[in-house]
Amino acid sequence: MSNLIEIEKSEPGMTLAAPILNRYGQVLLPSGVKLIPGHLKMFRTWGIKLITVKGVELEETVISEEMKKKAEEIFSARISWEAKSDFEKSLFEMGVKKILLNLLKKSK
Amino acid sequence: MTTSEKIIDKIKYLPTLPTVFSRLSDAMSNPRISNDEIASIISSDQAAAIKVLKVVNSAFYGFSGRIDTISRALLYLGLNEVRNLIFAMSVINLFKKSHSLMNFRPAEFWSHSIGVGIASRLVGSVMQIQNLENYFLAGILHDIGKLILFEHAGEDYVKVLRIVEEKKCLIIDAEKEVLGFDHSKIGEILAIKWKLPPTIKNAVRYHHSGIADGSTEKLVAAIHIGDIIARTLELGYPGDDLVPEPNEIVVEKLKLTGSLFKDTFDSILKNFEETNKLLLSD
Repeated sequence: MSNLIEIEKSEPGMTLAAPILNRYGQVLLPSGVKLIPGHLKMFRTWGIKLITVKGVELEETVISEEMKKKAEEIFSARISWEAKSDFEKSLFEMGVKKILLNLLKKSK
Repeated sequence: MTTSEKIIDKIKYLPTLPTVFSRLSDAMSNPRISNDEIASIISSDQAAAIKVLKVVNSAFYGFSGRIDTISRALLYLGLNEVRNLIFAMSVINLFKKSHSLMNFRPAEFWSHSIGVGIASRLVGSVMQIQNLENYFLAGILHDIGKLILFEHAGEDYVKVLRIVEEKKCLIIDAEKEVLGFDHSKIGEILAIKWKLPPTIKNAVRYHHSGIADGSTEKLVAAIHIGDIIARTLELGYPGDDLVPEPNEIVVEKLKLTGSLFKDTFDSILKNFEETNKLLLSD
């Protein structure tokens, strides 16, 4: 997930989740750039007030088997079908992923 | 009079859509109208104009702050897209003050509809549909019948919500059990009253199966899948928390694969959060 934050709240090490554009739509900094200490000064010079940075990535968080199992159980209770096709399996995964995000938010 | 007849009778007296939308529709029927004239009609309702600009500049359309006037919005998005956006906002406003009934809250209902609009638009773009102007609006309207029933079926709808709670079933099944018909039928009647295009009317009527009159219309199919995605990702609350099985024929017809979600999970959630806040705020 990404978050829209004021530049004053940006910190070195954060990753841009969306490019920074000037008023003409030209890219000043592309998405994916990791912020360094000098960037804050640049943003002020460019008149940028808000930036989008990457939030906590589920992939980078350690998820216990127990938590994953719990999420699968919660989602399974909401469906009365078995995921067979590639699309359905992916849908199931997304449902579980969303529940994991909820569980992680709650545990914080 | 049966419950169905009583409700249909009440639909006749439903408030009409706000003036800015009617004036816009009238103006659009004039082929000689200029973009500036259209822009001035939209700008006459300041609140609507500001909201349009906010949505246009949000992640939903991705113009991130580059469109600062209604004329520019018309230029970049086209007249139909802007008109549909205003239509969507008008309908939300029209029913925003509905009261809550048990765990059915209008704000959560609209959140679900916004979620379906966003997800359906995504499905449409994966299907490489060139003209996506009806996708968001059809998502906003797909469950409108529920809100009508919710407001006009009174005690009967309390029974519907109780059955959902007790049996943990889909709200559409509970509606059929109590009323003998469901919200998609009521939505269709309203769509006809509002003279909506047949594809949107069909999306409202047939989004549960994804198939209209035996054929797979792309918009109907996309709303069917969009509804399932919104339910899977818990975008708002449609009246029950189940996720129905996607219609196999629709999945095959649209050639949907698992890769649909690989890169879009985050952007659906982000778009939803932003658009939801924009459209549901005063």
